[in-house]
Amino acid sequence: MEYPQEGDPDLFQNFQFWDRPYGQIVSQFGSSKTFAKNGEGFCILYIMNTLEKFKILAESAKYDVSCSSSGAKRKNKLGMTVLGGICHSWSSDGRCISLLKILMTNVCIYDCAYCVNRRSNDIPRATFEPRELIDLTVDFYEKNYIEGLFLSSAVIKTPDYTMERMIEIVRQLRGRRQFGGYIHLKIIPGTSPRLLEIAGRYADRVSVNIELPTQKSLALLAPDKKMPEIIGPMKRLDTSIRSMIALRKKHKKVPAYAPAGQSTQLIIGATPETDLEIMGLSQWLYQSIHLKRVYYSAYVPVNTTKNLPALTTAIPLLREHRLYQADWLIRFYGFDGRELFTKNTPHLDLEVDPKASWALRHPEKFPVEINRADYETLIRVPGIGVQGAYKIVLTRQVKSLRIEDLKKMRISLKRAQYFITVKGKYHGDIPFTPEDIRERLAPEKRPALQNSSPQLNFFIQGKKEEIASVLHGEF
Amino acid sequence: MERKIYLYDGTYTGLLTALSVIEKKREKPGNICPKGSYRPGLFDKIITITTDPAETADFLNTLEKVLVRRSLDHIFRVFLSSVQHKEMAIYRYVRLGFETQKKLDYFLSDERVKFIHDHARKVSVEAHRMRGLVRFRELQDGWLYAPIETDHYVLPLIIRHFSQRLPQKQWFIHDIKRKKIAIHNLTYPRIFDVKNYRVPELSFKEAEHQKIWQEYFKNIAIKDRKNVRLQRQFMPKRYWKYLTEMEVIHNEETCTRYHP
Repeated sequence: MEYPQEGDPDLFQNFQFWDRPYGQIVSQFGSSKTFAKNGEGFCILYIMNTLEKFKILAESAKYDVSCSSSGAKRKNKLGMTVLGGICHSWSSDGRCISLLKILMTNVCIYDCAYCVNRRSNDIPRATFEPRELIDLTVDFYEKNYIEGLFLSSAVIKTPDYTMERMIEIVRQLRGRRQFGGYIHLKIIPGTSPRLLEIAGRYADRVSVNIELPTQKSLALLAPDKKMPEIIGPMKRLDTSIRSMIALRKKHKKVPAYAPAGQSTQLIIGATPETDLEIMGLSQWLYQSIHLKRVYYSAYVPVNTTKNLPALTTAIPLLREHRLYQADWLIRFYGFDGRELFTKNTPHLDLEVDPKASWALRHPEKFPVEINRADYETLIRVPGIGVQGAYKIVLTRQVKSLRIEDLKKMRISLKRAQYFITVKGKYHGDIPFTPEDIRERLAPEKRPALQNSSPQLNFFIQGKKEEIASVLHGEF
Repeated sequence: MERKIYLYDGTYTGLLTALSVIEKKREKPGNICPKGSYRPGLFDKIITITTDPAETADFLNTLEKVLVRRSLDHIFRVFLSSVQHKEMAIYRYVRLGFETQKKLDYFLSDERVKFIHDHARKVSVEAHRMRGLVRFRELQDGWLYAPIETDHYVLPLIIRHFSQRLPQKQWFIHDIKRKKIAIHNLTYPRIFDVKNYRVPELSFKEAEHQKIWQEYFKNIAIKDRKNVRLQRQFMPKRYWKYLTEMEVIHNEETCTRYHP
């Protein structure tokens, strides 16, 4: 047979073998065998069915945390997106499945130490043909398995080469298939501005993963990536998103440009950064690049390298949970990142949540009177959240609150009791002294927290707000 | 002591007619029941309400003037709930509404308001959940079919969503518990009663696609972070029966229970 030449338009459609770094034989019946580790340009034609590709490429995509399908409103002949987003299933690790999270390919030119798909790992590799992936997305969408597509990819050849192919998939979905579902498109660091401009036209959300918070860590673990190559596209995308929003206000017909904004992901626990550095970065991202979400991903050891934690290291789930709590405080509770840390403690308190920890450092601000404190003060009370404060403010307009009313309104007093007065009376079971209260709030009495439930708490908190926002939208 | 029992036909229009009649008479009802579920009591005086769309429309107009839109939504959602004595709860809520008017939903610590809010919330949460958990199967003639079994009658709340989501498809959702079926035939969805429904043959491609989805579902979980309790919290077991990805697990568990 004739070997296709590069530049041949059908090349990508039919063959993927030239960009495979290592040779691999996959028989027609599905069993695969990798046989050459360092062969440059070693390639053998292989046949792999969709199911096999699917297994490999979903397996590789799962360490991306983001899964939200919220923030965009769109409607087309096939499908629409709901502003609040919809979860369709929950996998056995308790994370929600909302989007078809998949890599276009896991063939990578980079060798990032923390990544499963790094060049030097000996794992089966696969690449989707655009049509294969589009058909599956549409089919899954129609059956209501998913809310849309989360397309990510390893880097083949160059960032631009990869990005062009990803955009092609998304363009066909939106164009030929009239797909109105949610599309989250991962942007490869180092993509050229021309492609960035196109990407936002088809995607609802775009994201560039920072992964490691400092240039130093990046140089250590991902020597092929540079900080400016990551931050640059983010800034450029932000400029486009802002200007398109401004334009849309003037002219209704201007098409939406990444209406659900940008997000990113940081890996926690692979490198020695402090929580202060991480939250500092997050806050900067929220304020200057207007990110919608920063995801924190507790590092799951997948590789052995001298620069990384050993494979046996526990996953820092609790730390991840605390970072999410702090993140929520910054975004919804009017906290400044600097308030959560002191000079001597660059890490968040693992024993009590960041809000309680802040409250215990500022006893002069408490207790607050439930019947008089304004909304901004109420949401700073440990145990009272956005919903609770909203309920209090609402009910206060028609009657003055007693302690029984709070209980009836489903406001948990477990933690709040130490920080509030109701009609001037303090209801805590112990006097108001930070040390004693800290004792009460610390998790010794809740041993389950150390294992799996920090995750649990986080998800409940996150989900509740998401569901709540949906409900508000509905009413 | 005589108790006045109002019987209505079980529809929302019927309930609103009943409320309108009661409101005009200005007297406290002993109970309001749908015809089917009423058990006669010794001192009951039965008043049967004939559903009157015109009267309902009038009453709804009054309610819309007195209450805010959100309160009306609460009432409809509680009507869809399967909680006992929901009719009397709605009556008390509406009664309070006439006194407090637009500020009705501020009385969060009032039992009457709390009951309505709690149950309206339950229905809304289930409706939202079902928007994600409905699973269509492709039939041989190209129609999409989804069976559901829900705690509350959420079908009316979800069909608009699906007809916007799949406007150019032919689909139907079957509420097995309540023997209702919502059909969307390229235009807009309508709900019908259905007695016995046997599921026709699935399409040729369906099994293959289900398998791919099940594989995806298995592979997307991070094994080191396994947390089945959390999974169940979001996706309670009672919904597993018709979930393509959980079917295998559900069937295995049922089998071992009966044939250990």
